[in-house]
Amino acid sequence: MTLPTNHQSSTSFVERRTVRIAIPVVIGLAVIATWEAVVRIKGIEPYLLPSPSRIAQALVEDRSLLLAALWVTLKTTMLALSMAVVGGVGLAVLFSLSRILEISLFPYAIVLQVTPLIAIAPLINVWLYDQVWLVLLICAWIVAFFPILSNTVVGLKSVDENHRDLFRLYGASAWQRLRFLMGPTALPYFFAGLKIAGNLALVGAIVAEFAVGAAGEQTGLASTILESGFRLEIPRMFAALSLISATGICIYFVMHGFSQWILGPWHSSAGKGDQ
Amino acid sequence: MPERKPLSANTVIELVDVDKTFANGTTALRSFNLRLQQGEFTSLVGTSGCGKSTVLRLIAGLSRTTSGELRREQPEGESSDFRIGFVFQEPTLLPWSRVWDNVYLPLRLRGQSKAAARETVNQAIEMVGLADFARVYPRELSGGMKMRVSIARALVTRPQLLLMDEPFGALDEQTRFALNDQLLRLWQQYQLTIAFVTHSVYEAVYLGQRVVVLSSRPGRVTADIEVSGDGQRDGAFRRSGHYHETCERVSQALAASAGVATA
Repeated sequence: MTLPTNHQSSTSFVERRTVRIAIPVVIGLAVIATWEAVVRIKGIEPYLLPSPSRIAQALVEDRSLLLAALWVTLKTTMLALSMAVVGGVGLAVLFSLSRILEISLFPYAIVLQVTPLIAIAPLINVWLYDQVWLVLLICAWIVAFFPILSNTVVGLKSVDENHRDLFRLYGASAWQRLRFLMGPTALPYFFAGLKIAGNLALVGAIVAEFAVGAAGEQTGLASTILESGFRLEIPRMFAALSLISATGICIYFVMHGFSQWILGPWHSSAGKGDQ
Repeated sequence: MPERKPLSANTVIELVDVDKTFANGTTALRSFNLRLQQGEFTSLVGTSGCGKSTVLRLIAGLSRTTSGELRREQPEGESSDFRIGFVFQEPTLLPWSRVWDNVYLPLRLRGQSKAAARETVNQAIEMVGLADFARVYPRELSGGMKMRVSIARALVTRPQLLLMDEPFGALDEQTRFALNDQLLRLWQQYQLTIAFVTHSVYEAVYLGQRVVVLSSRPGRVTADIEVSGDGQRDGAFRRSGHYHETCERVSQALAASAGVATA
């Protein structure tokens, strides 16, 4: 067995990592600097295009308003995602136990998925007229649910034929098969779905808010953007937008880290190891 | 209870007039008879697709006979607890479990707690000489080491019968020889009963006390050749006249049963 020595592996690792982080950061800073310069030199009005420094100022000045909105959006996204995980995994497990259930229900899951959310949202809004937050939650759930369901269904079916024989040989119960074989087999598939679903939940929460035009105290970042637009407070609009992006990036990295942490030691998608 | 014909003494398992036809209409075995004796090392050879693996799968209960009888030894007073170890062509380890947990799996599925199984699992891992690798994941092991883990897992239940389906086919010759010797040591030390499927005549003769030759599909036993000289199996045995003579006999039986004209 040959393992790379610590020295070699750590240098190449650091090199790769620094380069991979440094290049995008440099490009990002260059874009922001150019943006700032163009706005200042040309004297563009903030209501047309605010400079990055002006947006940063809005972020600080309107922080209580923005943080409240961020909290609503974040709460909606995370709750919808959790519900999507419970629902998606639960339904996938039921499908794996009953083929009949799968062929009867899976087409409707697809119908739900292929119908644009923006078209469904007003309908849900009609039904749940006075519970705006619930509308947002359901919309975010609808889009986050499908990737988890479909990925987990595929994962649960990907059990190796020899592994199946092995469990049969030792008389494993249905529960043991699920717990010790199908579950772990499906895990990488589930995480691939979770990464997609995390960001779709955010998109769902934002899109639904635009669609129903939420107003009142329980409003998220999308409403902040709409409202700021009406009032021509464009820097605040950009500030809200930057918070949405930052949230999306955070969700992605949290999901990615979580997946690495669970799968890291054994799964090749984690990209570690010498094989 | 219907009267069971008693198995002759020391028979672990017996297949009587077994036919096996798959759902797609392929007949894998016809009028197949085989008896495995306690403590015996039986090699099964045959051309590919002759139903060698099917024989093992039937014995292990992974597949059902179409007709015929499969009789197992059933000791008086004991429950129908007949333990079989199976080593597949692939190591078939669970990639998400460390070596220790892979070997523990059969006991875990039987409801044994980790604490209760600890001693047994450790022993099985030591038997194949991998005590230092118990905490390692399978992806960090070489092909031969993975196969040794697979053997440890098959032995952890102290099986009455160990079935091996071309376990060393994918390994290089050096590793294969080493594992052959290690398997023979385990067989002697623990008085195992082994049925070993291989397509290599040399491996079959080196390992087995008898070599059962199967015809091409539908599989039948066409020759049952004893390998005498039950002394030490080592390099000297590989060079001995008896070894080569037996290999030649098995090869001829194989060629005849496959319907291939010998040149």
